[in-house]
Order: sequence, then C-alpha cells, then structure tokens
Amino acid sequence: MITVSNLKKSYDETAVFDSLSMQVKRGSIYGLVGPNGSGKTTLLRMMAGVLRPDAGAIELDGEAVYENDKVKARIGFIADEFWFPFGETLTGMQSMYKGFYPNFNDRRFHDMVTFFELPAKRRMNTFSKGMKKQAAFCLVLAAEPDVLLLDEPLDGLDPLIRKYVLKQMMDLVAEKEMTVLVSSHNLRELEGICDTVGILADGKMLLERELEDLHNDFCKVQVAFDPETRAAIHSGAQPDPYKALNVLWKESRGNVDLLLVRGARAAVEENLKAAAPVILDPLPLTLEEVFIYELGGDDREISSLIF
Amino acid sequence: MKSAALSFKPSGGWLKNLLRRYWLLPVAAFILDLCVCFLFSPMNLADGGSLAVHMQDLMRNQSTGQLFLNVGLGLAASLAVFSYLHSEPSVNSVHSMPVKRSHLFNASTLAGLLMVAVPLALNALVLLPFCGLSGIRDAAANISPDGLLTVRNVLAFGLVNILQAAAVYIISNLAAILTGTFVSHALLAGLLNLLPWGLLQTVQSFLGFFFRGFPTDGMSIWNKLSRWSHPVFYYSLERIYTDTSTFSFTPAYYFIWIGILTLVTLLSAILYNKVKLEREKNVLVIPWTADLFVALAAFASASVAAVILAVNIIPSFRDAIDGKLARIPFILLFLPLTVVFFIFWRMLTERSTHVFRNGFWKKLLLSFLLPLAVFPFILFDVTGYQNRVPDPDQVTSVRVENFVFHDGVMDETGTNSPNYHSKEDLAKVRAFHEAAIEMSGMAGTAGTDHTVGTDYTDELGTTPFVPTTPVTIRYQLKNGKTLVRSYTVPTETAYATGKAMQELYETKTARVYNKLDKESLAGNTNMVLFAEGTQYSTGIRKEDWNGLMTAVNKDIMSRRYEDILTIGGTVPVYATGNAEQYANAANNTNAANAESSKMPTLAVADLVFLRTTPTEEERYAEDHMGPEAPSESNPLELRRFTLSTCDRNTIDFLVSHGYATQAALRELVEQYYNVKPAEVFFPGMT
Repeated sequence: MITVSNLKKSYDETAVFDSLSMQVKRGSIYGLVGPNGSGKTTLLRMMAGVLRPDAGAIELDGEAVYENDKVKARIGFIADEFWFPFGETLTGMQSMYKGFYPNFNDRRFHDMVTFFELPAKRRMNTFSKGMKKQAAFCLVLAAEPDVLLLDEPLDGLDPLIRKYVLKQMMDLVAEKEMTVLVSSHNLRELEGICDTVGILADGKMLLERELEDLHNDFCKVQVAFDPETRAAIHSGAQPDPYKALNVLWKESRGNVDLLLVRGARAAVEENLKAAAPVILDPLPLTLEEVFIYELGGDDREISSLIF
Repeated sequence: MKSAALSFKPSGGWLKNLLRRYWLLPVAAFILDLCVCFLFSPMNLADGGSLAVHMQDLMRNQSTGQLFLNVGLGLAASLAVFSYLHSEPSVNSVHSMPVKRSHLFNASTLAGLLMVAVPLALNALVLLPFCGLSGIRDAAANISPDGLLTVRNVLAFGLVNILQAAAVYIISNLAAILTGTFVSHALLAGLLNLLPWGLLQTVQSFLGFFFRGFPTDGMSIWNKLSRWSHPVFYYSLERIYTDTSTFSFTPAYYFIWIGILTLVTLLSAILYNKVKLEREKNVLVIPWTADLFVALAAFASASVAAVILAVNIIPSFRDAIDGKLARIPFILLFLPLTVVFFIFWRMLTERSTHVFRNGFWKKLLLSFLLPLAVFPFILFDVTGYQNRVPDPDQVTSVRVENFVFHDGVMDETGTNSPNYHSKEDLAKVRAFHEAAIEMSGMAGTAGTDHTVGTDYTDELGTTPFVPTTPVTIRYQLKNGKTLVRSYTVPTETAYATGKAMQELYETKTARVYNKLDKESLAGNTNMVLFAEGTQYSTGIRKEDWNGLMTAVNKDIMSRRYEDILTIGGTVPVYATGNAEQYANAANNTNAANAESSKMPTLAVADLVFLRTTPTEEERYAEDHMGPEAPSESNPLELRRFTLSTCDRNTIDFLVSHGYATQAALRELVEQYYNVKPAEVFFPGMT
C-alpha cells in the first residue's frame, strides 16, 4: 500500500501541496485527476523517489520511498515524456534495465516489442513520440514492478495500442496484484479502468472514492406519471413520491422527469413504484455526474476539473 | 545524508552504461593525443618542423596542443557524464531508477575520471619506448645524461596531463550540479575553472592601478598565486616565469591539488544529495549560490568597466606621472556600475526582466558587502604598503633597475642593474625610494599643468611633458625575503627623484658595474662598430681591443647623469628650454634649433660585442635540429655600448686608430640628425 501523509511541497516559492494525505491500496488502479498545475506530476515524481518532499512522508508498505533503492526497485515510473540516452537502442536499454530491476522479464519484454513491431537495434532518438511511449511501456512493464506510476500514459497511443497496453497492465494487476496509479486531467479517460479515483486541486485532495461505492450510492432514473396522477400530486391529493428520496438533481422535459438520486437503485425504484409511474427507467450514470454532485452541484469550477 | 555523500559506492550498472555510451570520447582523445605528441598539429607549426624542439616543448609542458587537449577532454567528459541533469525527462528517468543519488554521483564521477585518465596514461605509455632517443635533449646545462625523454620524465608528463584534465573535469562537475542546462553547465564550468585565477588577477590589477610602488615585473605574489591557482596555469606558465630548464614536475604541488580536487568532489557530492531536482527557475538551482554568483559577477564586471572607463575615457582619473587611478572618483564610478551590472546578472540568472522583487533591494545592499570588505585592502592602503621603505639595517643588498644604471650596456644575463650593499649606497637607495614615494601623486592628473613641489625650477617652466622613467627597486632582506617596488619617476634633476637617481648613478658601485669586463669579452668575441641609423659598420682589430675597452671604461667612469638620460632615451636629445623644444626632442627627428639649444650629447654609434663561434652545446643542439648556433652570419650579441659625443676617450681612440675620421663622424651626424655639427658636438674637432 502506498501511503502519503501530510505531504508538503513548494518550489519557486509557490506551495504545491499543503498537508496532502492519501492512500493507494495494494492491487488497486487509482486514477488521479486534477486540472493543469494541480501537482499531479509532482506527486508522481515524489512517489517515484525523484523529488524530495519538503515535509511529510511517502511510504510503500511502511518504508519511505525517497533514496531507498530497495523500495524503488519495486516501483516503475512512466513519465509524460520518457527519456532515452542519446544514441541508445532498445537492446541497450533492456540491458540497463536488467541491471537495475531484479524482476525484469525478458519474455514479456520480447513479446511486447514484437507486438509493437519496434526495431530493437535502431537508435531510439529516431523513434516517433508514439514509438517512444511504446518502448517505455515495454521496458517498465517488463520490469514487473509492484507499483506502476503513469503520468498521462495514453497520450500518443492509437486505440489498438492503447487497448493492448491496458490489457498488459490488467494482466499484471491480476497476476501479481500490481498497484497502478494513473494521472490524468480527463475523467472520461479513466472511466472503465480505475477502481479508485482521487481529485486533486489547490494542493489538496478534494475527493477520494472507490467507484463501486460511488455507483452503489447514486442512481439516475427517468420517471413519468399519467396526467391524473400528476395533477393529484400537484394538488396534494397524492403524496409527492420524490419527497422520500434524496434528489440531488431534477430536470423536467415535458411530462418526463430525470432524477439523480443518492441511494441504492433498488430502494429508489421501489419507492417510486409505489406511485405507479407509467415510465420508470434506470439510466447510465457517468463519473462526471457523480463527481459534480458529490462535490456540491453543477459548479463550473468543479466541472472544469474533470473535463 | 552526510555519510551517504561521503561513502564511495558507485552504481555498477550506471557506470557500465556511461562507459558504454561514451566510449568514443576517450578513444578520440587518445588518437588526438598521439597526433599532438608525434605529429605536427597546427598548434606546433611554430616549431618549424623540428621534432626535437617539438618533443622538448612537450616534455617541458610548453605544448599548446597538449594543453588544449587536456582542457577540452576534462570539459567534454563532465558535459557527457552529467548530461542527464540537463533536462526534466532525463532527471525523471534516471532518478526514478532504483539507485541512490550518492551512488549515481559516484558512478558518474568515476566514469568521467576513467575517460580522462586512461587515454592520457596510455599515451604516456606509448612514449616510453622512445625514451633515450638520441638528440632529444634540453639545451641548458642541467640535463640528465639521457636527455629529456627519460622514463621518469615521460611518466611525470603523463601524470601532469592527467592532473590538468582531471582538475578541469572535477571543477566542471560542480558546475553541472549547480545548473540545469547544457549551455549554463559549459559556461559555469569555464567560469569556475577561471575563478581563482580571475580573482587573484583582479586583486593584482587593483593593486597595480591604485598602489604606488606595486611591482610591474610580473613577479608579484599575486601573479604567482594566480599561476598556482589551477594546474593548467601552473604547468604551462610557471616554467616561463621561473625560467628553469629542467622538467617541471613538483610532487608537492601535485599532491596538494589532488587534495583540493578531493575536497571539491566531496562538496559536489554533498550538493548533489541536497539539490532540488525540480530545478528552480534560476539558472543556478541552489538559491544562495545564485545570489553569491550575482554579487561576485556584479563586482567583477563593475570593477572591469570602471577601470576601463577610468583608464581610457576619463583622463582626469589618472595621475600624470605614474598613471595611477584616483580612488574617490573611481568609487563614484564603481557604485552606479555595480547597480547596473547587478540588475543585468540577476536578469540573466533568473531568466526574467522582472527582477525588482523577491528581496532585490536587500540583496543589492548585501552585494555591496563584498567591495566594502576588500576595498580597504586593494584600493585603500590600510596596511601601509605604499610607504614601506626597509631600514638599511634590514637589507642585505638592493638592485635598482633602470636604463640609467646599465648605462646603455646590456649583458646576456638579463640583469641590468648594479647590486648595492654598502652602507653609503643603501642610504642613497633609501633616499631615492623616499623621493619616489613623495613624488607619487604630486604631479596632478593628466591634462593639467604641473608644478611639482618645491623642486620645481623656473628653468623648466610649466610644461605638459615631464620626462619620466620606470624604476624597479628590488631589496634582498636579511630575513631571506625579497621586497620589490616599481615607480615611474621624473628623471630631471629639478625633481627630487632625478637628483637621487643622479646620486645613485654617480656611485662607484654603479660605474664599476657598467665597466666592460675585458676577461669575459675576450676569447671568441668580435667587436663591431655600428653607426647609428646608417649601414656603416666596421670590425675592430683584435690588437686594438684592449686599448679600446680601456678607453670605453674611462668614458663610462666619467659620464654625467645628464648624458645618460640622453643616451638611454627618455629624451633622445637632452634639452633645456621651452616646451616646443621638448616636443621636438620627443619626436626625435628635427633638431633644427640644435645649435641654439645647447645639446651636449648625441648618440652616434653602437659598439657591439658579438660572439660568432658556437659552444659545444650550441653545436650539438644545432646538429640535432635545435636553434641556429652563433656564427659569422648569425652572431650572438653579448654587450652593446652606445657611443656618444661625450665619450671623448673612445672617439679619440677610434679616430687615432683609423676606424673613423672626424669627417666620417661628422658625416654620420649630418646624415642622421640633419644638422651641421657645431663646436658643441665635437669640441676641439674641426
């Protein structure tokens, strides 16, 4: 488990973090979201042991990461822009990584390089941006780290490659309980791969939730009543079926109401069925919607965090 | 952290990676070094294609090509092994790997050292089979029987080269840690390597510009320290100044520098562990180093600019006699320049024009602490340096170096002053020294009229031109130390210094010093009379040498001080009179008013003592492609006596022995000086 406790960091006399705390469970895929300049990359660099915290601690299974080569041997980091020494080839990088990472898997490396059709003996400074990213994935995933840190990882990858990379990652998560932390400024990108999401803004973690809990706690439904029932509800002759619910958001489109309700779906539907609606359909709920209302409504500032 | 920085455990993986990636650098260095040693690189064309001379230069640390190679190799190695610090992606990739910073640093440092040391060591080994090569010898007396290319010298040559390159390399590594880009690394590396030399030269320059009496012979302790400030300077320049002919390898200096470089490496290791890799916006990533750099740079830039302005553009800043700068006007110029340069360097290091924030004014004020701390010592004479005159009881002997005291006579030893040590002579030297101190600064600034103290005479009047001469006084003290002072002083006896110089000149010590030594000039020498400004020359017959030298010595013993001023050339023609005559005299051509100006002395010819037969050493060197040995067509000048119209005995001897008739001498004067000789030139001669 990765634990961040009361982390403080500033540079250029600007505070980046002020007492940031968070946890990443072993075997989870954590999505770190935040606007540009929120400190995502800085946090990842500190977790990778590149930068030194000004105060606080970052630990992996209770051991500090910074200047701890044994712990760092369990961490793989793919930055937004991956560097290769000038003139180096993929084969050369492979031998360098083998020297540093004891778990380096030649077979996995070979399979990935073959799939990506990367030239192993060509100088990497001649690779395109996408090829460099593929090469980075080959090297770091072949090292089979216990923790994988990814900074904007899918930029520059076409959909097929993206799918393959995600599959490789999932395989490692399943096989070896690898912990993955992915940073992005786009919540949609993380949907479908992460099981935990944290929103970072202004040096603080605004929200940190497991997606399963989020989906269990919210539901979105489409409801419609016949005209007589509507009139009765409106006049007070019939109780308002929405009163018993924790409605976060409601929109009426003609006779049809769209509702975002906090609560388990089954309980909400049962509640609404008592009023005999003519239409009662559950609708898919996006992460965006959850976070917008979890953070307090349709606030433009908050939506800017996740678009 | 401290123990991590000091423990040496390099990362093997990183070390191998660096050596594998940069193998070309040491290979290229080795090949280039072979070219420097064995082939004639463009730098060595001045040797005239002489392998023997080339190898001698190499063994004596005089090879420019070798020097450039050592410096270039050191810098290139540092730029290569620490190139990963130059960008964020490389910093991320390398420092995210499972290796401690200290191990990374150790591996990088070791890799670079190997790249620097191995090619230079291999090259020295390649030279070993050539040891004892006949013909490669040092031309001076103190040579080993095997010559210059010995096993000891070759090994020392290799060690010296490694030290030079390693010094550049290790100091450049410090720059790598302090900066964040390739360009700033390279620039700061150059600056840090030159910094000690630069600071010491700055101190010396200040002392030279402001301290009256500061020696001008380049042998001051500051000059010496600046040569010692870096192995590159030491092994290249120290030989020139100390003029030794043996191979320059000094173990003490060598091991002191190994110690210094070890300390610099430790400092770099500690800073590397502490530096913030996120790279502050400053060019220099550790804030206090940026502030320190800006303060130093502003001080250095303002000093240089203020001196340039004061010396070249604002004449009223300089003393008219000795050229020293006036202090208060200099400071008034220095202060605003410091502010300007402080702003400039801050903009450069912060890469921004918005510098008037983040404690700008406080840092500006703090930067003035530096001149405040050093100016009392290098600008104002708080230690009493300028007025220090040793008591004669403290003095063993003293030399006073000026043309007056060698009387137009030079010898091959290069020293051109008598050695005073008697009580009376020392008292006269003291009197001269005190007069020189008192004279300093009294003449006022350039462009103004001069009325100088109570020694001013109506005879001279007010003139814009005061004949002056440089004088160096070199005391050998009883405590073993040497005290040297240099002054520029007026020579005319109307001034106290001129009078004191006259006293010194007319001592028996000075006159006897200038006498021709018949014994040393006998043997293989030739004596030739060269007429001034003409093609006329004639050899002196051997049987006439003794008589002629006796005549010359008689004239030397009787020459007047005023005659020497003319002969030696502070004024080509000594004149009393008005400013126009002085100006004419300074132009040294048209003495149209010569007759009425009462010019008693004119230099008319040079009596030159030449050696045309080579010594065995010279013949040996020439045979083995050394410099050309003395011969009839290429004589070596031993001494030169400037014959003037006041040297009656010599002129009479030459005339009476048929070397020059009066008519011939008269013709010389007419041709060269374009005047008709009057009674005053040749009294008694018609």
